[in-house]
Amino acid sequence: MGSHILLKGTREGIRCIFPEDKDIIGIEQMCDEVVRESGHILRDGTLIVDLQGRESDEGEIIAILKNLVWSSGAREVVWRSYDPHVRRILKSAGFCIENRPSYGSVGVRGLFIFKSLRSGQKVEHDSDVFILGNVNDGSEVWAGGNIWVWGKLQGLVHAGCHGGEDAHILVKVFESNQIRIGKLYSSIEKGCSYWGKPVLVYVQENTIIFKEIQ
Amino acid sequence: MVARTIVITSGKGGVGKTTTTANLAVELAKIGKKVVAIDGDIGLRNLDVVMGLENRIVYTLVDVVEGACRLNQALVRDKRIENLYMLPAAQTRTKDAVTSEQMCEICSMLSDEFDFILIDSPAGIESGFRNAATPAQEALVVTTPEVSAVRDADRIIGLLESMEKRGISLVINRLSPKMVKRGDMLDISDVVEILSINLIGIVPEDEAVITSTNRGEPLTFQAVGPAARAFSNLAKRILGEKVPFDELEHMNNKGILGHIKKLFGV
Repeated sequence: MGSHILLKGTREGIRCIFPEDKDIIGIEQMCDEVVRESGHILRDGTLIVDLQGRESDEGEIIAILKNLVWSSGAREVVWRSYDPHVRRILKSAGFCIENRPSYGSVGVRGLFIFKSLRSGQKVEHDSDVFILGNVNDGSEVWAGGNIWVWGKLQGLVHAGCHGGEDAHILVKVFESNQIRIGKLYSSIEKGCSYWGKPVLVYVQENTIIFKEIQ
Repeated sequence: MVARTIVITSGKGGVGKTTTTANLAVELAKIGKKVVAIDGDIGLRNLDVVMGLENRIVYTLVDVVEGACRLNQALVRDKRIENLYMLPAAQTRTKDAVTSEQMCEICSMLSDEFDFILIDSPAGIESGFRNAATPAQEALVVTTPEVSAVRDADRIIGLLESMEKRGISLVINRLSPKMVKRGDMLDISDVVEILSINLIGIVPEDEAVITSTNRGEPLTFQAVGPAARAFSNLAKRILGEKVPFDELEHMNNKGILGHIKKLFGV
């Protein structure tokens, strides 16, 4: 992964995506570089500081404030992180944090699909996806948010596909060999205790949990 | 006369598309319908061999498209049964030799002359499949009760739906009741549940299929055996007749046990 901040224009504002890995060059230098080269874009706009899963501490957040947020002249600032520790720091400082950092475009409505997905068909959506049918073997669903399958799940589903591990998957009949949430995935053996049953899948402490629903 | 144009397809190879096309064509012709079976598998033709007409091919579908002959010159008439014709594919060319538009044109020329146009589609989802499926209003999706074949059939059904085909029906081929019983094979309800389309035919595993293919004599000429009976039922259902799905029961009543059952009227 590169040691540079990536800028991405979204409907909500300019997203400054920080690399997750600790950088070779310092955070101050990275921020200065952005302000120097792209300060004119950030001025008077909405700045989204997207730390992804970066394990920032208080010192680093102060450095971002000094070298990016205040230097850029942004009118409004929103913070985004899916690291629980970082979210706690930001919350305690009273910063504006996106409630659902993983959910792709904010304000995007859920997508309802009133039929089964057949092999080879793929659905991609930035928010929640609700399927009132089966997800057959060989089909795929990629959702920025949660995925609900009101039928049999045999294909591949990826909830929180933009990296959000607070997304969940709810399935009426679970028969899939692989599940993905955020950056985690889990392989499932046929014949496990919840095979063929209603299941809720979510992430807890960096582990995918399968909970059979009675 | 406006023909019903049906594509026989599957996605996966070797599941019995050509066998189904040949036997269905013979059965419909036996009932009195005028039928033409088109081999859509350009470069890998087989329908001629299964129908036993390989020695009588002069021109092919590609020759018609390229203007080397007239359409009726390329049609091979089956001398064993009235009303049965075959339009062979070229063996020395590839799928790109014909376009979907040209296939549509050929089918529209045949449409006034025939009751049924059956198109034997090649395996796969590329241009060969599209050429075969585009002119058809209806589709028969053939699958065997194997996970891989069912998944490919599902893919094909998705493509046929996107092409807005109205009558997509399912034929489950090579079903072995013994294997189903042992749990080694998907059963009918599993396949129908996954594919969620109208089941129109169940063809039991039958060694006679191999013999008939090698002889170039479709099973339905003889009309004996479980597979022949199944193809006969399939043809009747296509014609709108309500035929119960007793293909497997009939198979189970064969052998000594079957004779004993019959004797006692069980």
